[in-house]
Amino acid sequence: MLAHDLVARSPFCRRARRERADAPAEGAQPGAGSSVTIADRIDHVASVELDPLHVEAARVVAFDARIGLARSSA
Amino acid sequence: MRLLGPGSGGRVVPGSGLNASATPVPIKPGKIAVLSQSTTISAAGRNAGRNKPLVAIHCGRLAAVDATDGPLRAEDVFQAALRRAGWVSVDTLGALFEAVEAMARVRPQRGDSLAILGNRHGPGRIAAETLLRAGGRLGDLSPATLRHFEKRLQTRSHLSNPLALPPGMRADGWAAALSAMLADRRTDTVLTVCPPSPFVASDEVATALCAVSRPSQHKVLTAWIGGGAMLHAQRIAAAHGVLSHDSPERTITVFLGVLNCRRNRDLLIQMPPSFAADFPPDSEAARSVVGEALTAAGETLSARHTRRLLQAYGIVVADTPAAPSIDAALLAAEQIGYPVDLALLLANGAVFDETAGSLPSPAAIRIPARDLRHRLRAQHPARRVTGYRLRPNGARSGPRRCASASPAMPSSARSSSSPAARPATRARAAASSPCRRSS
Repeated sequence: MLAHDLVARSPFCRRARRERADAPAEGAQPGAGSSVTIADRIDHVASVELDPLHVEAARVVAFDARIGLARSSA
Repeated sequence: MRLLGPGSGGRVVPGSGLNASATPVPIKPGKIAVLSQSTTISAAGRNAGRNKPLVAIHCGRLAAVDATDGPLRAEDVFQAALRRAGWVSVDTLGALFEAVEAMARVRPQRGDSLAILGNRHGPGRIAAETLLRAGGRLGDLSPATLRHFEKRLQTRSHLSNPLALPPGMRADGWAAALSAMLADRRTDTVLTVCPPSPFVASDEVATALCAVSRPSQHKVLTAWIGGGAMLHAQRIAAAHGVLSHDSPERTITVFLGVLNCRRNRDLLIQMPPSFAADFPPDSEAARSVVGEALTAAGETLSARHTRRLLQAYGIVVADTPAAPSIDAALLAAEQIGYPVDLALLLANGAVFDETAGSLPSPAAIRIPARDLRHRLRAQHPARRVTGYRLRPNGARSGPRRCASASPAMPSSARSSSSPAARPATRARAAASSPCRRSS
Protein backbone atom coordinates (compact mmCIF):
# COMPACT_ATOMS: atom_id res chain seq x y z
CA MET A 1 0.00 0.00 0.00
CA LEU A 2 2.77 2.38 0.92
CA ALA A 3 4.63 1.58 -2.28
CA HIS A 4 1.48 2.31 -4.31
CA ASP A 5 1.00 5.56 -2.43
CA LEU A 6 4.57 6.65 -2.97
CA VAL A 7 4.80 5.75 -6.62
CA ALA A 8 1.45 7.34 -7.40
CA ARG A 9 2.89 10.63 -6.10
CA SER A 10 6.08 10.40 -8.12
CA PRO A 11 6.95 12.83 -10.93
CA PHE A 12 6.55 9.97 -13.39
CA CYS A 13 2.93 9.42 -12.39
CA ARG A 14 2.23 13.15 -12.28
CA ARG A 15 3.41 13.40 -15.88
CA ALA A 16 1.47 10.36 -16.90
CA ARG A 17 -1.68 11.70 -15.25
CA ARG A 18 -1.75 14.57 -17.74
CA GLU A 19 -2.17 12.02 -20.51
CA ARG A 20 -4.22 9.30 -18.91
CA ALA A 21 -6.25 9.44 -15.76
CA ASP A 22 -5.63 5.77 -14.93
CA ALA A 23 -1.90 5.86 -15.59
CA PRO A 24 -0.81 6.42 -11.98
CA ALA A 25 -2.41 3.25 -10.69
CA GLU A 26 -0.94 1.19 -13.52
CA GLY A 27 2.44 2.81 -13.19
CA ALA A 28 2.48 2.02 -9.50
CA GLN A 29 2.08 -1.72 -10.01
CA PRO A 30 5.61 -2.52 -11.26
CA GLY A 31 7.10 -0.28 -8.59
CA ALA A 32 5.05 -1.93 -5.88
CA GLY A 33 5.80 -5.37 -7.31
CA SER A 34 9.54 -4.77 -7.40
CA SER A 35 9.51 -3.46 -3.83
CA VAL A 36 7.67 -6.61 -2.77
CA THR A 37 10.30 -8.64 -4.60
CA ILE A 38 12.92 -7.10 -2.35
CA ALA A 39 10.76 -7.08 0.77
CA ASP A 40 9.95 -10.75 0.31
CA ARG A 41 13.63 -11.45 1.01
CA ILE A 42 14.01 -14.07 -1.67
CA ASP A 43 17.38 -15.63 -0.88
CA HIS A 44 20.21 -14.58 -3.19
CA VAL A 45 18.28 -11.79 -4.97
CA ALA A 46 20.55 -8.79 -4.55
CA SER A 47 19.05 -6.27 -6.97
CA VAL A 48 16.06 -5.71 -9.24
CA GLU A 49 16.34 -3.33 -12.17
CA LEU A 50 13.44 -2.46 -14.46
CA ASP A 51 14.67 0.00 -17.03
CA PRO A 52 13.19 1.27 -19.25
CA LEU A 53 9.61 1.01 -18.03
CA HIS A 54 6.95 2.03 -20.53
CA VAL A 55 3.34 3.00 -20.11
CA GLU A 56 1.55 1.54 -23.09
CA ALA A 57 -2.06 1.70 -24.16
CA ALA A 58 -3.13 -1.40 -22.29
CA ARG A 59 -0.40 -2.06 -19.73
CA VAL A 60 2.82 -1.00 -18.10
CA VAL A 61 5.72 -3.10 -19.31
CA ALA A 62 9.39 -3.38 -18.48
CA PHE A 63 11.38 -3.30 -21.72
CA ASP A 64 14.44 -4.53 -19.94
CA ALA A 65 14.80 -6.24 -16.60
CA ARG A 66 17.83 -7.53 -14.76
CA ILE A 67 17.96 -9.35 -11.48
CA GLY A 68 21.29 -9.54 -9.72
CA LEU A 69 22.28 -12.55 -7.63
CA ALA A 70 24.35 -12.65 -4.49
CA ARG A 71 25.50 -16.23 -4.34
CA SER A 72 27.14 -15.98 -0.96
CA SER A 73 24.08 -14.69 0.91
CA ALA A 74 21.70 -17.05 2.59
CA MET B 1 28.93 16.09 31.31
CA ARG B 2 26.92 17.55 28.45
CA LEU B 3 23.27 16.53 28.60
CA LEU B 4 21.81 18.75 25.87
CA GLY B 5 23.09 20.27 22.68
CA PRO B 6 24.98 21.76 21.11
CA GLY B 7 22.34 23.60 19.15
CA SER B 8 19.53 22.32 21.35
CA GLY B 9 16.63 24.50 22.39
CA GLY B 10 16.74 22.82 25.75
CA ARG B 11 14.27 20.86 27.80
CA VAL B 12 11.32 22.27 29.67
CA VAL B 13 8.98 20.28 31.93
CA PRO B 14 6.73 22.88 33.55
CA GLY B 15 4.83 20.31 35.56
CA SER B 16 8.05 19.35 37.36
CA GLY B 17 9.40 22.88 37.58
CA LEU B 18 12.25 22.07 35.20
CA ASN B 19 13.39 24.72 32.70
CA ALA B 20 16.74 23.81 31.21
CA SER B 21 16.34 26.06 28.20
CA ALA B 22 17.17 29.54 26.99
CA THR B 23 13.56 30.54 26.45
CA PRO B 24 12.70 33.91 28.00
CA VAL B 25 8.99 33.06 27.98
CA PRO B 26 7.50 31.26 30.99
CA ILE B 27 5.88 27.98 29.98
CA LYS B 28 2.67 26.96 31.72
CA PRO B 29 1.97 23.34 32.62
CA GLY B 30 -0.46 21.70 30.24
CA LYS B 31 -1.35 18.63 28.22
CA ILE B 32 0.52 19.51 25.04
CA ALA B 33 4.10 18.47 24.34
CA VAL B 34 6.33 20.09 21.73
CA LEU B 35 9.23 18.22 20.23
CA SER B 36 11.63 19.81 17.77
CA GLN B 37 13.96 17.52 15.90
CA SER B 38 15.46 17.58 12.45
CA THR B 39 15.79 13.86 11.77
CA THR B 40 14.93 10.32 12.74
CA ILE B 41 11.86 10.90 14.86
CA SER B 42 9.57 8.75 12.79
CA ALA B 43 10.14 5.50 14.67
CA ALA B 44 9.57 7.18 18.02
CA GLY B 45 6.59 9.08 16.61
CA ARG B 46 5.04 5.90 15.32
CA ASN B 47 5.06 4.43 18.80
CA ALA B 48 3.73 7.61 20.38
CA GLY B 49 1.07 7.95 17.69
CA ARG B 50 -0.70 4.86 18.95
CA ASN B 51 -1.66 6.69 22.13
CA LYS B 52 -1.47 10.42 21.43
CA PRO B 53 -2.57 12.64 18.56
CA LEU B 54 0.50 14.00 16.80
CA VAL B 55 0.79 17.10 14.63
CA ALA B 56 3.91 17.88 12.60
CA ILE B 57 5.20 20.86 10.68
CA HIS B 58 8.08 20.08 8.36
CA CYS B 59 10.52 22.58 6.90
CA GLY B 60 11.84 20.75 3.90
CA ARG B 61 9.60 21.66 1.03
CA LEU B 62 11.64 24.61 -0.23
CA ALA B 63 14.65 22.38 -0.72
CA ALA B 64 12.48 19.71 -2.32
CA VAL B 65 11.10 21.98 -5.04
CA ASP B 66 14.05 21.50 -7.35
CA ALA B 67 14.74 17.91 -6.49
CA THR B 68 12.25 16.29 -8.85
CA ASP B 69 14.58 14.27 -11.08
CA GLY B 70 14.32 11.06 -9.11
CA PRO B 71 11.32 8.79 -9.16
CA LEU B 72 10.27 10.08 -5.74
CA ARG B 73 10.97 13.32 -3.92
CA ALA B 74 12.22 13.12 -0.38
CA GLU B 75 9.24 15.23 0.68
CA ASP B 76 6.82 12.68 -0.80
CA VAL B 77 8.50 9.93 1.15
CA PHE B 78 8.48 12.01 4.32
CA GLN B 79 4.80 12.87 4.06
CA ALA B 80 3.84 9.26 3.34
CA ALA B 81 5.88 8.08 6.31
CA LEU B 82 4.22 10.69 8.55
CA ARG B 83 0.75 9.56 7.51
CA ARG B 84 1.69 5.95 8.03
CA ALA B 85 3.03 6.78 11.48
CA GLY B 86 -0.31 8.33 12.42
CA TRP B 87 0.74 11.98 12.23
CA VAL B 88 -1.18 14.93 10.87
CA SER B 89 1.03 17.22 8.81
CA VAL B 90 0.37 20.95 8.54
CA ASP B 91 2.03 23.69 6.51
CA THR B 92 2.08 26.74 8.76
CA LEU B 93 2.69 27.61 12.39
CA GLY B 94 -0.83 29.04 12.57
CA ALA B 95 -2.26 25.75 11.38
CA LEU B 96 -0.06 23.94 13.88
CA PHE B 97 -1.53 25.86 16.83
CA GLU B 98 -5.07 25.48 15.51
CA ALA B 99 -4.59 21.76 15.05
CA VAL B 100 -3.22 21.35 18.56
CA GLU B 101 -6.14 23.30 20.01
CA ALA B 102 -8.56 21.18 18.03
CA MET B 103 -6.95 17.97 19.25
CA ALA B 104 -7.47 19.20 22.80
CA ARG B 105 -11.08 20.33 22.35
CA VAL B 106 -12.56 18.00 19.74
CA ARG B 107 -12.80 14.26 20.04
CA PRO B 108 -12.83 12.51 16.70
CA GLN B 109 -16.21 10.84 16.22
CA ARG B 110 -16.56 7.47 14.62
CA GLY B 111 -18.46 9.00 11.73
CA ASP B 112 -17.11 11.68 9.42
CA SER B 113 -20.26 13.63 8.59
CA LEU B 114 -21.01 17.18 9.62
CA ALA B 115 -24.42 18.73 10.30
CA ILE B 116 -24.61 22.51 9.99
CA LEU B 117 -26.98 24.77 11.88
CA GLY B 118 -27.21 28.46 11.04
CA ASN B 119 -29.64 31.32 11.09
CA ARG B 120 -30.52 32.40 7.58
CA HIS B 121 -29.56 30.32 4.55
CA GLY B 122 -26.38 32.07 3.41
CA PRO B 123 -23.85 31.31 6.17
CA GLY B 124 -24.86 27.67 6.42
CA ARG B 125 -24.61 27.15 2.68
CA ILE B 126 -21.21 28.84 2.57
CA ALA B 127 -20.02 26.48 5.29
CA ALA B 128 -21.50 23.46 3.50
CA GLU B 129 -19.83 24.34 0.21
CA THR B 130 -16.51 24.88 1.98
CA LEU B 131 -16.85 21.44 3.53
CA LEU B 132 -17.68 19.74 0.25
CA ARG B 133 -14.91 21.53 -1.65
CA ALA B 134 -12.41 20.30 0.91
CA GLY B 135 -13.57 16.71 0.53
CA GLY B 136 -15.77 16.56 3.64
CA ARG B 137 -19.20 14.98 3.91
CA LEU B 138 -22.51 16.51 4.87
CA GLY B 139 -24.62 14.28 7.07
CA ASP B 140 -28.26 13.39 6.49
CA LEU B 141 -30.74 14.34 9.17
CA SER B 142 -33.13 11.58 10.15
CA PRO B 143 -36.82 11.84 9.16
CA ALA B 144 -37.73 12.21 12.86
CA THR B 145 -35.42 15.19 13.24
CA LEU B 146 -36.76 16.81 10.08
CA ARG B 147 -40.35 16.32 11.29
CA HIS B 148 -39.35 17.89 14.62
CA PHE B 149 -38.00 20.99 12.87
CA GLU B 150 -40.98 21.21 10.48
CA LYS B 151 -43.26 21.30 13.48
CA ARG B 152 -41.12 23.64 15.56
CA LEU B 153 -40.39 26.07 12.73
CA GLN B 154 -43.95 25.80 11.45
CA THR B 155 -42.85 25.39 7.86
CA ARG B 156 -43.79 23.15 4.97
CA SER B 157 -40.57 23.98 3.14
CA HIS B 158 -38.19 21.15 2.42
CA LEU B 159 -35.65 21.05 5.25
CA SER B 160 -32.21 19.53 4.97
CA ASN B 161 -28.63 19.87 6.09
CA PRO B 162 -27.48 22.67 6.35
CA LEU B 163 -30.48 23.69 8.41
CA ALA B 164 -31.43 27.37 8.37
CA LEU B 165 -33.18 28.83 11.41
CA PRO B 166 -35.25 31.98 11.07
CA PRO B 167 -33.25 35.23 11.39
CA GLY B 168 -35.19 36.21 14.51
CA MET B 169 -34.44 32.98 16.40
CA ARG B 170 -33.92 33.60 20.10
CA ALA B 171 -31.24 32.00 22.25
CA ASP B 172 -33.58 29.31 23.61
CA GLY B 173 -34.58 28.46 20.04
CA TRP B 174 -30.91 28.00 19.10
CA ALA B 175 -30.44 25.76 22.11
CA ALA B 176 -33.49 23.63 21.26
CA ALA B 177 -32.38 23.28 17.66
CA LEU B 178 -28.86 22.20 18.66
CA SER B 179 -30.29 19.78 21.18
CA ALA B 180 -32.47 18.16 18.52
CA MET B 181 -29.52 17.82 16.17
CA LEU B 182 -27.31 16.26 18.82
CA ALA B 183 -30.08 13.79 19.65
CA ASP B 184 -30.14 12.59 16.04
CA ARG B 185 -28.26 9.28 15.84
CA ARG B 186 -27.23 10.10 12.29
CA THR B 187 -25.35 13.18 13.45
CA ASP B 188 -21.64 12.80 14.07
CA THR B 189 -20.57 16.42 14.62
CA VAL B 190 -22.56 19.68 14.56
CA LEU B 191 -21.30 23.08 13.42
CA THR B 192 -23.24 26.16 14.41
CA VAL B 193 -22.73 29.27 12.28
CA CYS B 194 -23.83 32.47 13.98
CA PRO B 195 -23.74 35.88 12.35
CA PRO B 196 -24.76 39.01 14.31
CA SER B 197 -28.50 39.35 14.80
CA PRO B 198 -30.57 42.43 15.69
CA PHE B 199 -33.01 40.19 17.55
CA VAL B 200 -30.73 38.44 20.02
CA ALA B 201 -27.36 39.13 21.66
CA SER B 202 -24.65 36.80 20.47
CA ASP B 203 -23.45 36.35 24.06
CA GLU B 204 -26.83 34.88 24.96
CA VAL B 205 -26.68 32.52 21.99
CA ALA B 206 -23.20 31.41 22.96
CA THR B 207 -24.22 30.75 26.55
CA ALA B 208 -27.31 28.83 25.49
CA LEU B 209 -25.42 26.71 22.96
CA CYS B 210 -22.71 25.88 25.49
CA ALA B 211 -25.28 24.83 28.06
CA VAL B 212 -26.84 22.39 25.59
CA SER B 213 -23.55 21.08 24.30
CA ARG B 214 -22.01 20.49 27.73
CA PRO B 215 -22.50 16.71 27.75
CA SER B 216 -21.48 16.53 24.09
CA GLN B 217 -19.06 19.43 23.86
CA HIS B 218 -16.61 17.35 21.86
CA LYS B 219 -19.22 16.98 19.11
CA VAL B 220 -19.95 20.70 18.72
CA LEU B 221 -18.01 23.27 16.69
CA THR B 222 -18.93 26.94 16.52
CA ALA B 223 -18.20 29.70 14.04
CA TRP B 224 -18.95 33.33 14.91
CA ILE B 225 -19.10 35.57 11.86
CA GLY B 226 -18.81 39.27 12.50
CA GLY B 227 -15.28 40.04 13.61
CA GLY B 228 -14.94 42.02 16.83
CA ALA B 229 -18.71 42.10 17.38
CA MET B 230 -18.69 38.35 17.92
CA LEU B 231 -15.43 38.10 19.82
CA HIS B 232 -17.08 37.89 23.23
CA ALA B 233 -19.36 35.10 22.10
CA GLN B 234 -16.36 33.28 20.71
CA ARG B 235 -14.58 33.59 24.06
CA ILE B 236 -17.62 32.32 25.96
CA ALA B 237 -17.66 29.22 23.77
CA ALA B 238 -13.93 28.69 24.20
CA ALA B 239 -14.25 29.09 27.98
CA HIS B 240 -16.80 26.26 27.96
CA GLY B 241 -14.41 24.00 26.07
CA VAL B 242 -16.26 24.33 22.78
CA LEU B 243 -14.08 24.86 19.74
CA SER B 244 -14.79 28.29 18.28
CA HIS B 245 -13.46 30.29 15.36
CA ASP B 246 -14.30 33.51 13.61
CA SER B 247 -15.21 31.89 10.28
CA PRO B 248 -16.81 28.64 9.12
CA GLU B 249 -13.89 28.07 6.76
CA ARG B 250 -11.37 27.89 9.59
CA THR B 251 -13.66 25.72 11.68
CA ILE B 252 -14.14 23.28 8.83
CA THR B 253 -10.41 23.15 8.17
CA VAL B 254 -9.89 22.18 11.79
CA PHE B 255 -12.73 19.64 11.64
CA LEU B 256 -11.19 17.95 8.60
CA GLY B 257 -7.80 18.00 10.28
CA VAL B 258 -9.22 16.12 13.24
CA LEU B 259 -10.81 13.60 10.90
CA ASN B 260 -7.46 13.08 9.16
CA CYS B 261 -5.85 12.54 12.53
CA ARG B 262 -8.36 9.84 13.35
CA ARG B 263 -7.94 8.17 9.96
CA ASN B 264 -4.16 8.19 10.25
CA ARG B 265 -4.29 6.72 13.72
CA ASP B 266 -6.74 4.08 12.53
CA LEU B 267 -4.26 3.22 9.79
CA LEU B 268 -1.48 3.12 12.33
CA ILE B 269 -3.14 0.55 14.54
CA GLN B 270 -4.24 -1.59 11.62
CA MET B 271 -2.04 -4.16 10.01
CA PRO B 272 -2.56 -3.18 6.39
CA PRO B 273 -2.56 -5.79 3.70
CA SER B 274 0.89 -6.05 2.20
CA PHE B 275 -0.54 -6.51 -1.24
CA ALA B 276 -3.49 -5.25 -3.21
CA ALA B 277 -6.37 -7.70 -3.40
CA ASP B 278 -5.78 -8.29 -7.10
CA PHE B 279 -2.06 -8.85 -6.65
CA PRO B 280 -1.24 -12.14 -4.97
CA PRO B 281 2.53 -12.61 -5.30
CA ASP B 282 3.79 -16.15 -5.77
CA SER B 283 6.82 -16.21 -3.50
CA GLU B 284 7.27 -19.97 -3.78
CA ALA B 285 7.49 -19.74 -7.56
CA ALA B 286 10.02 -16.94 -7.22
CA ARG B 287 12.18 -18.99 -4.85
CA SER B 288 11.98 -21.94 -7.21
CA VAL B 289 13.19 -19.77 -10.09
CA VAL B 290 16.14 -18.48 -8.09
CA GLY B 291 16.99 -22.03 -7.05
CA GLU B 292 17.16 -23.07 -10.69
CA ALA B 293 19.18 -20.01 -11.63
CA LEU B 294 21.80 -20.69 -8.99
CA THR B 295 22.79 -23.87 -10.78
CA ALA B 296 23.91 -21.80 -13.78
CA ALA B 297 26.89 -19.49 -13.96
CA GLY B 298 26.64 -15.71 -13.87
CA GLU B 299 25.72 -13.02 -11.44
CA THR B 300 22.44 -12.09 -13.08
CA LEU B 301 19.40 -14.18 -13.87
CA SER B 302 18.87 -15.25 -17.46
CA ALA B 303 16.13 -13.53 -19.43
CA ARG B 304 13.87 -16.55 -19.02
CA HIS B 305 14.38 -16.76 -15.28
CA THR B 306 14.02 -13.00 -14.90
CA ARG B 307 10.71 -13.08 -16.73
CA ARG B 308 9.40 -15.94 -14.59
CA LEU B 309 10.50 -14.35 -11.33
CA LEU B 310 8.99 -10.95 -12.12
CA GLN B 311 5.83 -12.63 -13.36
CA ALA B 312 5.45 -14.06 -9.86
CA TYR B 313 5.25 -10.46 -8.61
CA GLY B 314 2.85 -9.19 -11.26
CA ILE B 315 5.44 -7.40 -13.35
CA VAL B 316 5.18 -7.70 -17.12
CA VAL B 317 8.44 -7.86 -19.04
CA ALA B 318 8.34 -7.15 -22.77
CA ASP B 319 8.53 -10.16 -25.01
CA THR B 320 11.96 -10.04 -26.60
CA PRO B 321 12.30 -12.81 -29.19
CA ALA B 322 15.66 -14.51 -29.56
CA ALA B 323 17.03 -14.60 -33.08
CA PRO B 324 19.62 -17.30 -33.83
CA SER B 325 21.28 -15.31 -36.63
CA ILE B 326 21.64 -11.73 -37.76
CA ASP B 327 19.21 -12.35 -40.64
CA ALA B 328 16.63 -13.69 -38.20
CA ALA B 329 17.28 -10.61 -36.07
CA LEU B 330 16.44 -8.39 -39.04
CA LEU B 331 13.16 -10.23 -39.53
CA ALA B 332 12.35 -9.88 -35.83
CA ALA B 333 13.12 -6.15 -35.98
CA GLU B 334 10.66 -5.74 -38.82
CA GLN B 335 7.98 -7.38 -36.71
CA ILE B 336 8.76 -5.29 -33.64
CA GLY B 337 9.06 -2.01 -35.55
CA TYR B 338 12.02 0.37 -35.62
CA PRO B 339 13.90 1.71 -33.74
CA VAL B 340 15.05 -1.32 -31.79
CA ASP B 341 17.65 -2.19 -29.18
CA LEU B 342 19.98 -5.12 -29.80
CA ALA B 343 21.75 -7.40 -27.33
CA LEU B 344 23.86 -10.52 -27.64
CA LEU B 345 22.61 -13.78 -26.20
CA LEU B 346 25.23 -16.06 -24.71
CA ALA B 347 25.33 -19.68 -23.63
CA ASN B 348 23.22 -20.59 -20.56
CA GLY B 349 20.72 -17.88 -21.45
CA ALA B 350 22.98 -15.04 -20.28
CA VAL B 351 23.00 -11.66 -22.00
CA PHE B 352 26.10 -9.61 -22.81
CA ASP B 353 26.24 -6.55 -20.60
CA GLU B 354 26.41 -4.06 -23.45
CA THR B 355 23.59 -3.31 -25.86
CA ALA B 356 23.17 -1.29 -29.02
CA GLY B 357 20.19 1.01 -28.85
CA SER B 358 18.02 3.19 -31.05
CA LEU B 359 18.77 1.26 -34.24
CA PRO B 360 16.48 2.82 -36.85
CA SER B 361 16.78 0.48 -39.85
CA PRO B 362 18.06 -2.91 -41.08
CA ALA B 363 21.22 -1.29 -42.34
CA ALA B 364 21.90 0.15 -38.89
CA ILE B 365 21.73 -3.26 -37.20
CA ARG B 366 24.59 -5.15 -38.82
CA ILE B 367 27.46 -2.82 -37.83
CA PRO B 368 26.51 -2.46 -34.14
CA ALA B 369 25.99 -6.24 -34.00
CA ARG B 370 29.52 -6.76 -35.26
CA ASP B 371 30.89 -4.18 -32.80
CA LEU B 372 29.15 -5.91 -29.93
CA ARG B 373 30.67 -9.25 -30.93
CA HIS B 374 34.13 -7.65 -31.04
CA ARG B 375 33.61 -6.16 -27.59
CA LEU B 376 32.45 -9.50 -26.22
CA ARG B 377 35.47 -11.25 -27.70
CA ALA B 378 37.79 -8.66 -26.19
CA GLN B 379 36.24 -8.85 -22.74
CA HIS B 380 35.27 -12.52 -22.55
CA PRO B 381 37.20 -14.52 -25.14
CA ALA B 382 35.73 -17.82 -23.95
CA ARG B 383 32.10 -16.84 -24.19
CA ARG B 384 30.07 -17.81 -27.22
CA VAL B 385 27.30 -15.87 -28.95
CA THR B 386 24.20 -18.02 -29.39
CA GLY B 387 21.90 -15.39 -30.85
CA TYR B 388 20.51 -11.90 -30.73
CA ARG B 389 17.82 -10.35 -28.59
CA LEU B 390 15.79 -7.45 -29.92
CA ARG B 391 13.39 -5.29 -28.04
CA PRO B 392 11.49 -2.10 -28.78
CA ASN B 393 13.68 0.92 -28.23
CA GLY B 394 13.25 2.73 -24.96
CA ALA B 395 15.64 5.10 -23.30
CA ARG B 396 17.01 3.99 -19.96
CA SER B 397 16.93 6.27 -17.00
CA GLY B 398 19.96 4.62 -15.47
CA PRO B 399 23.37 6.29 -15.80
CA ARG B 400 25.34 3.37 -17.21
CA ARG B 401 26.10 4.01 -20.87
CA CYS B 402 29.18 3.22 -22.88
CA ALA B 403 30.86 5.07 -25.71
CA SER B 404 29.11 5.08 -29.04
CA ALA B 405 29.77 2.22 -31.44
CA SER B 406 28.15 4.09 -34.29
CA PRO B 407 27.04 7.71 -34.83
CA ALA B 408 24.62 8.82 -32.18
CA MET B 409 21.08 9.22 -33.33
CA PRO B 410 18.07 10.64 -31.59
CA SER B 411 15.56 8.13 -30.43
CA SER B 412 12.12 8.65 -31.82
CA ALA B 413 9.31 7.57 -29.57
CA ARG B 414 7.80 4.24 -30.40
CA SER B 415 4.35 4.28 -31.86
CA SER B 416 3.12 1.77 -29.32
CA SER B 417 4.33 3.69 -26.30
CA SER B 418 2.07 6.06 -24.51
CA PRO B 419 2.60 9.78 -24.94
CA ALA B 420 2.76 9.84 -21.17
CA ALA B 421 6.14 8.20 -21.24
CA ARG B 422 7.62 10.20 -24.08
CA PRO B 423 8.85 13.52 -22.69
CA ALA B 424 11.37 11.98 -20.31
CA THR B 425 12.50 9.22 -22.63
CA ARG B 426 13.03 11.58 -25.54
CA ALA B 427 15.17 13.92 -23.53
CA ARG B 428 17.33 11.15 -22.25
CA ALA B 429 17.55 9.32 -25.54
CA ALA B 430 18.80 12.39 -27.35
CA ALA B 431 21.69 12.57 -24.93
CA SER B 432 22.48 8.87 -25.00
CA SER B 433 24.52 6.89 -27.44
CA PRO B 434 23.28 3.84 -29.33
CA CYS B 435 25.65 1.59 -27.47
CA ARG B 436 25.47 1.23 -23.74
CA ARG B 437 26.27 -1.02 -20.88
CA SER B 438 23.14 -2.44 -19.42
CA SER B 439 24.51 -4.06 -16.35
